Amino acid sequence: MAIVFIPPQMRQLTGKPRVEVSGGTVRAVVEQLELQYPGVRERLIEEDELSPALQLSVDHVMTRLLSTKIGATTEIHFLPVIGGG
Amino acid sequence: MSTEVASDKTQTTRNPVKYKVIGTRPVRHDGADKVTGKAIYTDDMHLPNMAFGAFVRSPHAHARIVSIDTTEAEQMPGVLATCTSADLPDPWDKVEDLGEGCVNYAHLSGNVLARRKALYKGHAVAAVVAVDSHLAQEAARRIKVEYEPLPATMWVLDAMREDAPLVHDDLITHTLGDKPAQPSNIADHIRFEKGCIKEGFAAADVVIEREFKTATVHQGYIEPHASVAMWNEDGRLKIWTATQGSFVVRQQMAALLKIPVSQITIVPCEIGGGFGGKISVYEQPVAAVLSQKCGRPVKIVMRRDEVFEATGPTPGSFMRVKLGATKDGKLVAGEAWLAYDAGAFPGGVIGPGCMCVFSCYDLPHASVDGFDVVLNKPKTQAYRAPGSTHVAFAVETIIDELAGQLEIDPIEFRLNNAVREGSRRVDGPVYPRIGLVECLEAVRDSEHWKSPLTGPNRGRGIACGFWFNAGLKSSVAANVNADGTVTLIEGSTDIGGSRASIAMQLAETLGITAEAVIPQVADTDSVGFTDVTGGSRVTFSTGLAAYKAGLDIQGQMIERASQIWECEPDSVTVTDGIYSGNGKSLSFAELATKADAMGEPVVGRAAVNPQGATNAFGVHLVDLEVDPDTGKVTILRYTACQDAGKAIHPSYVEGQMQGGTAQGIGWALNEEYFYDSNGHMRNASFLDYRMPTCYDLPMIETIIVEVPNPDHPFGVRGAGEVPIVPPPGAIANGIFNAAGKRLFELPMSPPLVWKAINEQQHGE
Repeated sequence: MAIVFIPPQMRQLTGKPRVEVSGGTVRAVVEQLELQYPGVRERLIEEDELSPALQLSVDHVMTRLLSTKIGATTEIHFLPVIGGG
Repeated sequence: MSTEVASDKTQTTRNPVKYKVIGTRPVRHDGADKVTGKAIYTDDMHLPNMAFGAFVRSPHAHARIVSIDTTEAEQMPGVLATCTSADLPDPWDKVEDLGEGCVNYAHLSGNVLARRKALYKGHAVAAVVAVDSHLAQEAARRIKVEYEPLPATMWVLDAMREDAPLVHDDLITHTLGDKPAQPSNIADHIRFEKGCIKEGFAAADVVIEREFKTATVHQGYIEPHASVAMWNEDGRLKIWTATQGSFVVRQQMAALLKIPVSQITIVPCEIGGGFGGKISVYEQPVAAVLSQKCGRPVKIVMRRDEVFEATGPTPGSFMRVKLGATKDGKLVAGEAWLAYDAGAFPGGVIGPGCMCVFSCYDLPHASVDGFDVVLNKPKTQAYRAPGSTHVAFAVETIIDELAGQLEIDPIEFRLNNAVREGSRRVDGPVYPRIGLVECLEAVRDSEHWKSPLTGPNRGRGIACGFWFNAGLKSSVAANVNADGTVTLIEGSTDIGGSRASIAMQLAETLGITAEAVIPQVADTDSVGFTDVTGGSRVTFSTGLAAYKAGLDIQGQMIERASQIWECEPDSVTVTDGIYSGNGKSLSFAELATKADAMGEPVVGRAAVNPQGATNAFGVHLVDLEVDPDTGKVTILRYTACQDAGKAIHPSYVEGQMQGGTAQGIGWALNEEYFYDSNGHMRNASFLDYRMPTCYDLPMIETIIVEVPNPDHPFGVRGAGEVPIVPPPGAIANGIFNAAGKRLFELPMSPPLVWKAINEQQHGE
């Protein structure tokens, strides 16, 4: 079960700041979210990949891979991409 | 087999691992070339039959391009070709991840050469190539461009107004919420929430809200952008250039020119500074197109005014920040509203600004709104910890004010509220093991903090700073030579001594000296993909690759030793580079000599994409003096303290801390783009764009704190970016301490300081 922290601007879709969703990978979690809260997917996914404006924090580790595995109590956050100098 | 490679995985700063190489200060491998002037920079490249390119740039901050006539220029003897945006393929309207941030290729192409509209003064409109650079400059002046000037917007809040002139007619705000129907200059709106700020501020005994402004500033690297392009008849393109990321340049070139990456070779020359400003391409695609058109190698070297006006400074900003605390000194709520200018194209540094604004303090309730705003300035780029310095100036000023109002020592107030392992950031993730508390304690215990500061008009200031560290992809190969040395081939361009820090990690792994490793930065055909030198990632990530390549070599050397000694590999032991088995021992060098004669070469390799790059913090302390007659601020003493995880080469960590601090001091006190009413930068030279020199600064003292990163074998954290973050906040607090006046605008230049003091003295 993943705990998805819903970005504030998307909470109108979910009605709550955190949602517990099942799924083996981040991609599966997003698909599950879409089933429960239609409209989530198009805000997060572009051309079947994570939107290039976003990155993921999965259990506090940054990644952009939707194939990232989900554990029993995994936290998922959707964050802006950052670049360094 | 049994091997011993020291590891910092479970150590703390009070129980350091003993290393042989790591933590020492060997002479840098490229030192002799650098100090004798033999290092090859891009402008040193001279190829047979080479021609020279020059740009035509917009004299207007915003204008429609009516026509471009290249006829007269092309008829000049010695002029070989001209180029406009029509010579670039139609760009993909595609956003691609460049590892560190993403790029929209339509915007990038439009920035390289303007299409339809010039969006800022200095925007490249056309280019020309000639047999010498003077002729090229003259020919550029003879390219006739007809413009229809348009109203320009230069200040971020003006650009956000509903009636502001649109920079892009079709720009719809990106947001994770509902998209607006109408275009505007707001490219992105980011929002974070944690807890309930209404509840948080209701619990506060003291609430302070302030507004801040910061000016556009440039990275100020000493080497201008420069490239040599050679487009061969067989379709292969080779580019020598000054870049922070040769593979990322290759990726951008392939997309802009619509040719496969396999046809492009990027050769990274030595680089005279980047700090985030040498990741995007500017002149490279134009040099390539001109080379293709004239059939010769083409060199383009920007002038300094072109660097200022047409590459990527870091944004100006407006910020409104509010913090609340209880009377016993506990922060309970924070709210931030941030608007950063992106320059002429979307994609500024507002994201990290939002993520960094409350990064040093454990706030139970917080909200952040951030806006990426386009206007008629050059497209902004990263500058060491992009976006973090702005917000640290704001937050650290208010933190100091809160501590003062509550009559709590400023370090104790920060310690009471500092984030630590397990603290949840406002953007959601939870910190792993971090070292902010240790940095604050180190400053509190320092001789500087304990020393009294006396004298009129003098003050002391302190501030904290934060930056993420990136991981990303790195590749290395390591060839064992018959004399026991190892040639290390890496893809990370060396800007701040990373040849040494990477080589030392390989040397430590193999139990050999740093001098026995010969690091070479290779071109894109000669090493595996490697992301940019940026994000404080190279010593962490490429160093990890070197460590793994070392383990690969060690495994092969054990095999050779077992063959020599006719024993099982498992019975061979390795300690400090001495291989032992069957009652015999050989040093790494002796074994390398024997291995060379008995089979295939020993080559180690590793490719990594680590995820555990963690975070880094710094705390700065400054003593300064304010001249009440002129407003000039003199830095008397400065101490920069930082958690480096493990300092591989302490001199280079100190160098990063001192360099970043010097840049942060310049940002705080002097640096800014002066724009006139027409949107023209009036100080586009180092004479007028005032960066600090050695005459302006004392020796910057450093304290390296080592709280090892548990996700790196030697405990490395990135060191390159954090030190630019605290200086403006620390100096603002020092000025208040000296002159009794809080300043909320950067730069805190003499006129601003003098005016503030004067207003105070006259009771205004």
